[in-house]
Amino acid sequence: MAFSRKEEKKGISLPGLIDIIFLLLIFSLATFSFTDSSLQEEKGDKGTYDLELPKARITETFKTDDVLQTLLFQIENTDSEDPSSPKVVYVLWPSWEDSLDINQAKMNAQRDSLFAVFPDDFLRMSDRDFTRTSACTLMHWALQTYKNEHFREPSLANTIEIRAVRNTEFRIINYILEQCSAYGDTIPRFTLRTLSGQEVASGF
Amino acid sequence: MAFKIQRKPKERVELVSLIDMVFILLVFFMVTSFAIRMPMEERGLSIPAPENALGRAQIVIQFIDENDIFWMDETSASVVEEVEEYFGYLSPERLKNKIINDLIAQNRVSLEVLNEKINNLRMRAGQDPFARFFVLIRCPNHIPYFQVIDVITKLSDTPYRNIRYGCVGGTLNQIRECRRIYTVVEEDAQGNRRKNIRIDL
Repeated sequence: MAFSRKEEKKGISLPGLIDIIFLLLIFSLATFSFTDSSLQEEKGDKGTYDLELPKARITETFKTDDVLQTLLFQIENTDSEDPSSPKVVYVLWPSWEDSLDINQAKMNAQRDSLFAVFPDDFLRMSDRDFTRTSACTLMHWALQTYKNEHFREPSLANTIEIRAVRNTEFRIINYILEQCSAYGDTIPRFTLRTLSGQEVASGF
Repeated sequence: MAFKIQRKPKERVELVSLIDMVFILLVFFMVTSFAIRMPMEERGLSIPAPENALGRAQIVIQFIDENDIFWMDETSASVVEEVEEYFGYLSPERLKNKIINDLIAQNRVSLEVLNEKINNLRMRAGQDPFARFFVLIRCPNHIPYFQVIDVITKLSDTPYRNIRYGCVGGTLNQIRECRRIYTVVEEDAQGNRRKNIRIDL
């Protein structure tokens, strides 16, 4: 009697294969960086325009230990646990010799007395009195000095940074904006650093 | 009778399932590590500095409170014109109050409506690269700055960057206490005559 040996066919199972293909698809979708096609101008076609647009991006991501690139005004509460405590501004100066992160620059600001507390009643002050407070005088001096040293000509790359706790009053930020505005195209942009997630509410 | 010994088939790890699992773990770790890292990062909003020169604005956004905004645009001129026409017999002071009260009643919006209006404006700006818009933002000093920055960010994020803005501190009461509010007929850049609102603060 002849024995017939049945051998199972070895092969890739179809459901498993589909599974892998879908996983690969999801993986590539999740890691793919999308480009905004609406921002790309077509050239040559009728009805389209060739425009020289500024290349500055609206948002970018920082890490708190990133090296400080430009002048940064850090506004926070004197008591980080108490959001109603007076606001203090630190002038964080970048260093071209040593790479400083925010924490190191803040320590330097404390050492060099480059910080000032806003008075309790600064919201009730007249514009004239407000601009004469030690905090505004410090910010004005810092911006003017930094501009004279580093921003000699108008350029889109000239930017300063503001890092402020979420409950910072508009008057403080508006003072910085007005100062930038006064320099026209010499300081055409500013970068506002904001923390994402829950940490925003609790400050830095 | 001969007994058959049933031999168990050799247990092996199937290759397809193994790859499957490895990919699932990989995707899981990538997603969770990204989610864990997110709160530790700062977002940097690159915003153009305001253009705080004296002049005209097509749109005025006056913050009253965090969720209470007064919006004025070209449609507001018809409100002023109507009041001027029907209540011209009032004294200048009462006429001014009537105009402002009517404007505020018709143009006071919530944050949600403000966002809708800004989106419409961005859409208009996005359709015409040669159109120029200037928005004046006024905000009381005590309001958290984030409200205003949110508006500025939206206005700045247009494909042709043709919405410019000015930003000043100011309250609704200052508008209420203005010296005069009235319409004037002016010619725009294309030579079209149109009515605009003038506020003498």
